[in-house]
Amino acid sequence: MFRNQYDNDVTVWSPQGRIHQIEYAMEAVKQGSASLGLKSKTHAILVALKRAPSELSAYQKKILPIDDHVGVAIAGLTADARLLSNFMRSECLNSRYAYDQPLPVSRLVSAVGNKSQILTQRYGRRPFGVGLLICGYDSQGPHIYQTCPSANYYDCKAMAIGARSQSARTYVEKHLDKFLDCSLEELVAHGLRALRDTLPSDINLTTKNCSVGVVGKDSDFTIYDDDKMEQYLSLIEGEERSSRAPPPTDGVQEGDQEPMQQDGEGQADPQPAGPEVQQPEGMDQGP
Amino acid sequence: MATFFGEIVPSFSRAVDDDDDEEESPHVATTNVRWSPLVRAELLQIPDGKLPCQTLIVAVGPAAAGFAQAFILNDDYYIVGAIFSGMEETDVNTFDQKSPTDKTCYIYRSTQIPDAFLCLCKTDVSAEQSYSFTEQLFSCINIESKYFYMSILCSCMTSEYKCDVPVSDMNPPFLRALKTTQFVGVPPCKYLEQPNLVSGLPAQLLTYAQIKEVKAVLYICYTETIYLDSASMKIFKPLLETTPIRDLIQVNPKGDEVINHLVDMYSLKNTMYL
Repeated sequence: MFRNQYDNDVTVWSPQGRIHQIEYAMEAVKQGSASLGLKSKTHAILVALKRAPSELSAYQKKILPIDDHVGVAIAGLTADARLLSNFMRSECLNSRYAYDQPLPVSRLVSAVGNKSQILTQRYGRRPFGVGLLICGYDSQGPHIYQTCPSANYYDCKAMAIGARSQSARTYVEKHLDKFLDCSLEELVAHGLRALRDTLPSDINLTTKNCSVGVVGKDSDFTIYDDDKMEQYLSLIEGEERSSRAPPPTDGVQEGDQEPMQQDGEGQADPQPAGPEVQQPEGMDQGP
Repeated sequence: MATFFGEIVPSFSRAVDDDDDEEESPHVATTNVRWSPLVRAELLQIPDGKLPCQTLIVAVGPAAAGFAQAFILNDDYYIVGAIFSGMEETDVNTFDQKSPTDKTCYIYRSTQIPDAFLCLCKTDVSAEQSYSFTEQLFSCINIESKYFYMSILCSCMTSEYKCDVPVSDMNPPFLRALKTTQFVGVPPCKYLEQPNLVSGLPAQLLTYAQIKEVKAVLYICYTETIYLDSASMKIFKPLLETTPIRDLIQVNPKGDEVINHLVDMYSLKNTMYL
């Protein structure tokens, strides 16, 4: 079932100048769980929430190593992510072979962008359904890049993608000026706090449901999973959750309303009073 | 296809194969309701053959059904009927129909409040079947009491929600309401704004209530994720303090546990999107 007659194909423009298939592909990124990238002057890190694995199969990785100086976190269609990461690995390998130096991260990202763009302009193909957060360290310093199914890529100070990533982006925006001078531990702690904000308040980060990837000047891209996460989770253990975390249970989200009246006299006002725009529950009381 | 004057005309193929006619016997899907032996015996004794009902809650879809299972359904409820509206080959079902991921549609009744019914519809009822579903549901339930209240809970994707701000600014999941003219009461959320529409089975149920001039309210949860998550179920929680649901429930301390359990059940199938 199509919503309109211009979304059958990625090669069809709508009268408003939109390509609906690309916009629909961007929705696929939101179906993945949250991933976050942060950088300081010395390190770039990725923090990602993993989906609960089946008891029968091994869990699938959210953070993938690409080269010694680059890693990615994925959100969206797993198979597309696998293809893109294989492509990125071969680009990095080729650079080391041909020029004997690591591929600058910006060039890697633009290669991914160019590859993705072809699929948005050819009949019979479809855009990639995955968003990537690319974290790398090269001669220009640490980098965080975001790529989209639209074939756009963004150089970011920090970014979060995936389901409920808005809460993580809000945290990061609030603390943005602190990141540049952070130590690695403080940076990871910030990342985990931001990731925690995407979870409902009765669920916490554990060694099973998150992983961290770190790259720095003298440290190759390393992924921390399971037990190795313990050292980082202990940095934020016992801290109060930010009040920006999505309230799962109590209170009404759309402003306060009277509970419904019993059947009785008079007609109720059909328009409920209340703010038109959703307001946050409370402001963060962070330092 | 654009015509000479530039207008767009949908082009249908007029090529017909000889085999096509034989395959195309229109299959009208019908819905069937089966009541338990207890209820069937009870119906025989009632003059008009319909069970008296004062409260009916219908939860359509996994998010609404999950919420109802966690916070409304308790040990006092027993199954009195089931509605079958066409099982697809891709539906996952266990033999005893008791797994949370089974696609079933059971009607529950409370032992303590015998005129309160809860219908958890986890099957996908197509638009063509919604009328017969509604007819079958009300074939043995009497809604003519002046205290009758119906609550319909359902969910939809935010990609179907049209508004002038980006939907991510609305902080999904969020709740919207629609009601019949007979319903006097203020829902704890906004009414569904134009040009948004509710369609399918929930719309059919509300329309039926409007035509029969009974009190009914519909709550629709707009959610971003295609997979079941706890936020999409817990967003219905404010309704526990509203008519008619508040008269039925007992506080269930295990509600959150049930929700987390349901999320785990459904999430095991989730490896396509990481």
